[in-house]
Amino acid sequence: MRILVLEDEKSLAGLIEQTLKQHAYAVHVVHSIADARAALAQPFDAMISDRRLPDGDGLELVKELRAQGNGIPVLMLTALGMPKDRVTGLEAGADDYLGKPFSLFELIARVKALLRRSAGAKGLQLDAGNVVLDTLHDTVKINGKPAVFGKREVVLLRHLLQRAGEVVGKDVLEQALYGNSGQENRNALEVAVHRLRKMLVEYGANTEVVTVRGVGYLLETQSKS
Amino acid sequence: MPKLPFFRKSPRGSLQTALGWRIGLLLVLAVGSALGAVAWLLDQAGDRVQDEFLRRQAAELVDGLVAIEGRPLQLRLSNEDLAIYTERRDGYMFVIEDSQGKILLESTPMARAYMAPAIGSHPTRPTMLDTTTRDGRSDALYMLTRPVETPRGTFYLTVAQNRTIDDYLMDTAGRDIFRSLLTVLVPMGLVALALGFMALRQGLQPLYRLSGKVKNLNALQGETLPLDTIPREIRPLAESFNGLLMQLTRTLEAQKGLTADTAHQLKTPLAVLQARLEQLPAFEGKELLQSDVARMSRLVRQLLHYAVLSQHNANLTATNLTELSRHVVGSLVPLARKARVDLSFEGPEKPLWANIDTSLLTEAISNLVDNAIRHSPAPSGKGKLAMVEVVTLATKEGPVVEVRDRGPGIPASEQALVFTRFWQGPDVPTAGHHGGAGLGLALVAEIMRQHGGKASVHPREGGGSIFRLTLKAT
Repeated sequence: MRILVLEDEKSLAGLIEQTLKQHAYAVHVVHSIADARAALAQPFDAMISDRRLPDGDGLELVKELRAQGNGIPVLMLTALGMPKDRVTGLEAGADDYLGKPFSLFELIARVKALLRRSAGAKGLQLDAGNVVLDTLHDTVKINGKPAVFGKREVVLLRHLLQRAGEVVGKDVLEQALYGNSGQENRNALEVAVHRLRKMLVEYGANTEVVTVRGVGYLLETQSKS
Repeated sequence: MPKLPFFRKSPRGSLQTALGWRIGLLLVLAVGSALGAVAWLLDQAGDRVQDEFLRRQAAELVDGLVAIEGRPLQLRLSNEDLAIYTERRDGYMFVIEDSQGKILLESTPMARAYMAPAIGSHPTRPTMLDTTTRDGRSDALYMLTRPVETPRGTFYLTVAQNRTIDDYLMDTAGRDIFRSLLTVLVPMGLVALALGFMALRQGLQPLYRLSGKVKNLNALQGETLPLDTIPREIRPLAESFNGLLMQLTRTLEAQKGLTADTAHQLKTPLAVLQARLEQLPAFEGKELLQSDVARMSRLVRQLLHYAVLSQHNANLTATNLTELSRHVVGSLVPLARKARVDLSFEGPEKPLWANIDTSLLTEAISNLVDNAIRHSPAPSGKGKLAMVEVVTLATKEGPVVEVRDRGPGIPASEQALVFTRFWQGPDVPTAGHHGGAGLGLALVAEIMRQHGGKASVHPREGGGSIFRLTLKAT
C-alpha cells in the first residue's frame, strides 16, 4: 500500500512517515501542493494532506483531484478544527478529517479505515480482528476458518466492517437489510444482530457487536489482553 | 426645601421632564403676565373713561346753570339728567359754590356733607381726594371743579363720583372680563401645555431613535451609527461614539485574531510533541506526560474555538434536534468506548424541531458529552461501565437536549459558576483521567447565547449531573 503524505511541517511529516512505515505502508512525503501534483502522476492508495500549505489550501488540491475524477481516499489533517471546517472539508471531497494535534494511533486507525472502505468498495476483503469478509463472494472467515453465515448476517457484517470502530445507525442497517418497507423491521434488526453475535461467539471471533442504545451498533475488536 | 425637578441637577434625570417643567413654567408665566397686562390695561381704560364722564358731567352742569342778576342761581336740567345725581345709582354728586365758598346748590343734602372735607381744593383735573363718610370711615372721591364766569360773578361747580362705587363697577366689569379670559386662557394654556409636551416628545424622538439604534448595534459585525439621519446637534456625539466603537472593535478583533492565531500556531508543534511522545518507548511518567499534552491540546483547541466562536454569527435553521443529537452521540461513541463509558441516546419518535446552527450545536453537545465522559467514574470491579445518557425532549420552555452523567456532580454553590471561563470540576479520579481546560462549558454557554437559548446544570437523582440545553422551538 502506497501513501502520499502532504505536510509542510517537516518534523511532523517525518513522524507520520516513520509511523506509517512501522505499519508496513510505503510512504512518499511532499511539502507543497506543487510537489504533490507531480507525485500524483504515480498511483497511490491514499493521501494524507495538511490544509495550510506554503502554496495554498490542501483542500483545493482535493477539489482539483475530484474534478479530474481521481477518487483517491484522502485524510485531511488540519489545525482548523471547528466542526464547520470539518463539514467544508468533507463536502470538498475529503474522505475523513483529523484535527491537530492528533494521536499517531488515531492516524493509523483512520488510514486503515480509509483503505478498508475503499477496498470494500472495490470488492476486496474487509477485516476486523480475526474476522475477514470477502466482499466479492460474501464469504466469511473467522480465525482463518470458513464460517457459514446467513445472507442477512453477511449484509450486517459488511456494513459494520466498513465502519469498524464507529457506530452504524439503526436506520442505515434497517435500510440495508429491508429497504424502505414499513414498520415490521424494528425487531427484525435486533433478531439479525442477535444471530450475528451468536455466530461470532460460536466461531471464536475476537470481535463483537456492541449495542449503542438509541443510536445503532458498532463492531469492536477486543484488545489482546 | 424640596427641590423642584426644574432646579434639580441630577445627572440621571429625564431630559424630557426637565424641558417639560421649563416649558410648563414659561407657559404659566406667560399666561400670568398676559392676565396682569390685561388687568392693568383695563384699569387704565377705566380711569380714562371715568375722567371723560366726569368732564362731560361737569360740562353738562355748566351748560344748565342759569345765572340771572337779582335771582337765585338755577340749574336747568332734564329730569333724566338729574336722576343721575339723585338716585345715587352711579354715585355722582355735585355742589356749586360762590367765590366765598358758600354752597348755593347741591345734588342732594348728603352730597354736601360727603364732599365737605374736599370741597375747598377745587381741582381743575379729575383728581382723587380723601373724604370721610357720615359714619366716620375714610373714603375717596373723584372730583373735578369748573369755575363758571357769569354776570353774577364766578361760581365753582364741583362734580364728584364715589370711588367705591366706581371701583365696584370697574371690579364687576373687570371680574367679568377676567372670568371670560380665564375660561378661555386656562384651557388654551392646558392645550398649549399638552401640545408643548407632544412637540417635546416629537423633538426628542431623534434621541430615542439614536439610543434604539445603539442598543441594536452589532459592533462585532462592524456596524456603526448612520450619521445621515441624525440631527446636527447630536451628530458629534454619534460621531465620537462611532469612533470609539471602531477603536474598540479593532482592539477586540486584534485580540481575538491574536488568540486564534496563537492557538492555531500552537497546534502543529503540539501535534509534533504528541507524536514524538507516542514514538518513544515506554518509560516511567510517559502516560502522565501524554495526559499533560492531551490536556494542553484540549485547552488550545478550546481557546481557538472560543475566539472563533465569539466572532461567529449563528446561522439558525429549523433542524430536528433528536436527529442531530443522535448523530453527535454516534460520532462520540468511539471516544466513550476508549474511556470505557457506556454512551447511549434516547429521544421521542416525533421530530423535535428547533432553530439550530448545526455546527455550533454539534460543538456544544460534543463538549457536554466529552465532559460527561471525562467525569464518569472508572468501571467498577465487575466490569460494569459508567453510563452517560443523552436525551432529547419537548418541554414547556422549548426543545431540550440533556446530557446525564454519574460523575461526582457539581456542588450547589458552584452550579452558577460552571459556565464561566476556566472553571474546573472537583478533583476526583475519573474515567478520562485528566481534567479539561475549563473553557468547554463557557463555549457551550456562548453557543446557547447565540441560539437565544440557555445552558443549565441540575443535580441528578442517585448522583451525577444533568446538563441541559434549552433551545427555541421553530
